[in-house]
Amino acid sequence: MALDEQTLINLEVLQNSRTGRVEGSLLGVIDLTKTPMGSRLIRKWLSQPRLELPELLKRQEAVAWAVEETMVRASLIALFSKMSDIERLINRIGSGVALPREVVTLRRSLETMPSLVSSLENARVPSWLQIGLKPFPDIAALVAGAIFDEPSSNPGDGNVIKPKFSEELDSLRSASKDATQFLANLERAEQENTGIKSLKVGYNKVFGYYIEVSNANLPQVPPEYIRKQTLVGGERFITPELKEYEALILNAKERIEELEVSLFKQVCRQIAGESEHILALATAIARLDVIAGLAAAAVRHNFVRPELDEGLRIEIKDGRHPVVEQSLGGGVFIPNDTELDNNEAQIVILTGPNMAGKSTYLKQVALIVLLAQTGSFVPAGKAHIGLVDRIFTRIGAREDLASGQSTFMVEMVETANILNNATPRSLLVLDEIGRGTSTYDGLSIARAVAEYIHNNARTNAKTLFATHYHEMVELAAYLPKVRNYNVAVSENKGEVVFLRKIVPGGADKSYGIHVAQMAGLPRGVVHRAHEVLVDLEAKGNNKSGPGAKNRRPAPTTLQISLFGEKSPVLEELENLQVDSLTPLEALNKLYELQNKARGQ
Amino acid sequence: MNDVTPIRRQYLKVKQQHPGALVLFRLGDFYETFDDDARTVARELEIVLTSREMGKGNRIPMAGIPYHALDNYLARLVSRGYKVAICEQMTQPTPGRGIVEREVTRVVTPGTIVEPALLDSHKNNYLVSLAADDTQAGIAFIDITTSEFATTQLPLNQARLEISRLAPSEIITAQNGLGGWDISGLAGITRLDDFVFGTENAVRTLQEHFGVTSLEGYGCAHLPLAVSAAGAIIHYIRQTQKSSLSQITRLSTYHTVLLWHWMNRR
Repeated sequence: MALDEQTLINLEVLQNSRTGRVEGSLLGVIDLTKTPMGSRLIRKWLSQPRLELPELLKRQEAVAWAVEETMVRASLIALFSKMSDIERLINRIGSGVALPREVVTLRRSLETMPSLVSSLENARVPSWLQIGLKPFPDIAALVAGAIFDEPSSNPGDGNVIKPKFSEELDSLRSASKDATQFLANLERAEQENTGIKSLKVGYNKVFGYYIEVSNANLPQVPPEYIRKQTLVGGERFITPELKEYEALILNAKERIEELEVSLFKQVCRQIAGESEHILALATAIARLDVIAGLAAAAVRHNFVRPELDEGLRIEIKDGRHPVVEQSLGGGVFIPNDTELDNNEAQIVILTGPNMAGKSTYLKQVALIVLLAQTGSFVPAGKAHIGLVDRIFTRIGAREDLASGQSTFMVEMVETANILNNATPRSLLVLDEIGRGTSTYDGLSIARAVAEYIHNNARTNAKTLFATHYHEMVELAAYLPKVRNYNVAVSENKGEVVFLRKIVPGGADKSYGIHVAQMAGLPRGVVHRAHEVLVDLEAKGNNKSGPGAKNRRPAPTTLQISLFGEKSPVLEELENLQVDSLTPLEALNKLYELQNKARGQ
Repeated sequence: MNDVTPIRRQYLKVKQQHPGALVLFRLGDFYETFDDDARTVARELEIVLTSREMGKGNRIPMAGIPYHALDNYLARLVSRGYKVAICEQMTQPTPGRGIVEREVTRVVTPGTIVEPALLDSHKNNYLVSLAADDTQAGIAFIDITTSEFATTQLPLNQARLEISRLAPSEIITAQNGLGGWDISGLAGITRLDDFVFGTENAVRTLQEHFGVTSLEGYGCAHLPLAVSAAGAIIHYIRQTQKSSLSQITRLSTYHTVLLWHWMNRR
């Protein structure tokens, strides 16, 4: 199923359009994954809903399994919380840029694998979820034996490779340590040997280690001391032994660095040898995480498993808007039913005042279909979804200042795109088409669009059409597949209460002035508006208003062009490069062309 | 040129090799930028624009960031769509040996980030490559942090839909060859030389990278635009990463043309 960028934005699938954040979007409500891999995968699933029934049933089956297996789900979620980004870690290790700390992080994740595998034992896990799911005890053990739990940040800083991993490194380290210890002890030992109490062992960058003796004690200096430097108060000596240990210390430090770097690289290479399998593990964890997350969301938000088929019917009982429902808090949201069917209720015209909840209802239906086609459960009492090939949306006013398009122009461009690309399999969500221009223009366009969708075999898509032009309800009189609904309003002594319940029938008033009053417009303005309205309605009834004048039914078939221009189908056929098509693509193309030819 | 210091000469040479990128030039404990780069960086990062004499009477605008704060500043530059070439000191400074050698070790672009600190772990970071003729488009995408690499070929009018689904952070395409087709607004666009997208060149790049003699096994051998797009991605990453690409071991060919109609006719 295809979702264009505008639809993703309009339906607030991946981000809330006001804040630009994930919170307050569909993703924010249903992403209960715990691992980074899982959260990337669920984002992918949401932005690419599927059309293939078998794939969707497979996912549904798995979610249903995770919903039922409460204990397994809880232990999975607990284990996933400890997992880090295995997918990216193994990539960094493979490309040779990983830091020691990251290798330890991978090890910690791999170490949770045995518990994960055992928690899935006897749990009747769907087999496709188990592919690639295996522990890597050798890799975990390798890292555990090689790298300190809290290594220094760069290999070569001396605190990366554990003792007992490399004999060479161990002996270098112990030599270095012994030598340091030896020098520390040397001062006392030489003091005792020579009887010179003021003898000192020191170090400077030019001479390295030396023994310093003051002038008064020079006669006691043993013969094996080699004079190196004369100072005012004394002389400095070295011994072959001293230099030997010095070399040991300095060389050892350098060699330890080199050796650690090369040992660390060797460990990384060994891990990278398994990278294909570890990547497969990352994929498996991502899938399982998404399934567990969808199940958790279904339980938490009270979703049900929708029935899916390849039919042309959408039937939702007590559907809810998953995001609005959450922000309102428990039990406040008023659920609504939906019935759409290409052969009967193809177009639903939804009338009602602004603010009554028309847009919420429209988006709710689209989101339920979208969720169903990602394999998720849906916010409804019961749902039957005939799969949809694309959701088109025309919602809201948006100016495209960058390209110099007015609100109305944007609206019309988007509408044109929908009418040109929709198929009978599509779901169209049209909110207030024609709002961006004058009333008569807008109403005329809105009616013409609805008639086109209804009558044109190529585009007769299931459509939700919200409008505050209550004249639109007249379409049902001559278009058999149009159904009127409105948002119930209770009016009591001039007080308007929106009941947010969708009921059959058209609205007769738009209550715009009531909304203005609720919004806090000055009393005088509201009162005057009321007078103007009464006046206008009186005039409208005398002359024939837009509703009356346009009652003439539209032609049910569209006329073929009389101007002899070449048909786009022919043109496409001429330009078709048959050689570059696979047989399957050719077949698809043929079908597409025939469809176009029939539609025209 | 006589009044120019050796460091300045070295810098200009590096800058010349990376004309489209901001060059961060390592000088001791700082990464410095010069000339227009310095003005841009000072503005974007709100750091002080100063100047440095690099040759007699030759004061050059300069702005620098301390080396340990690189990731933070890099994130801000890249998220605003800049490409950043990082030029490191390759040798230890030795007295009397002249200036140290410097080399660009990598070019950071929005689509080729690998630093965990610069990435959103909840999102894939896709680089998309686009090759098009009058009717068809080849679209390849890669996330180098996860090694996901795939390519497809589809009718030109579906290309925008596919790219927007991927929500890439960077798009590469040829200088010419998109005609009047509009891909603006989807992501930052990097234009590469046309030859990079040449089919022959792309085939060679891919075969070299995967160490194979034919692309049959990847399912795209008969899709010239899909191959062009995929080859260009490898070329671009090689240019910017300068580190091992050996973890990219797979290329999958996928189809977006849905078999929906066909399935239902059956």
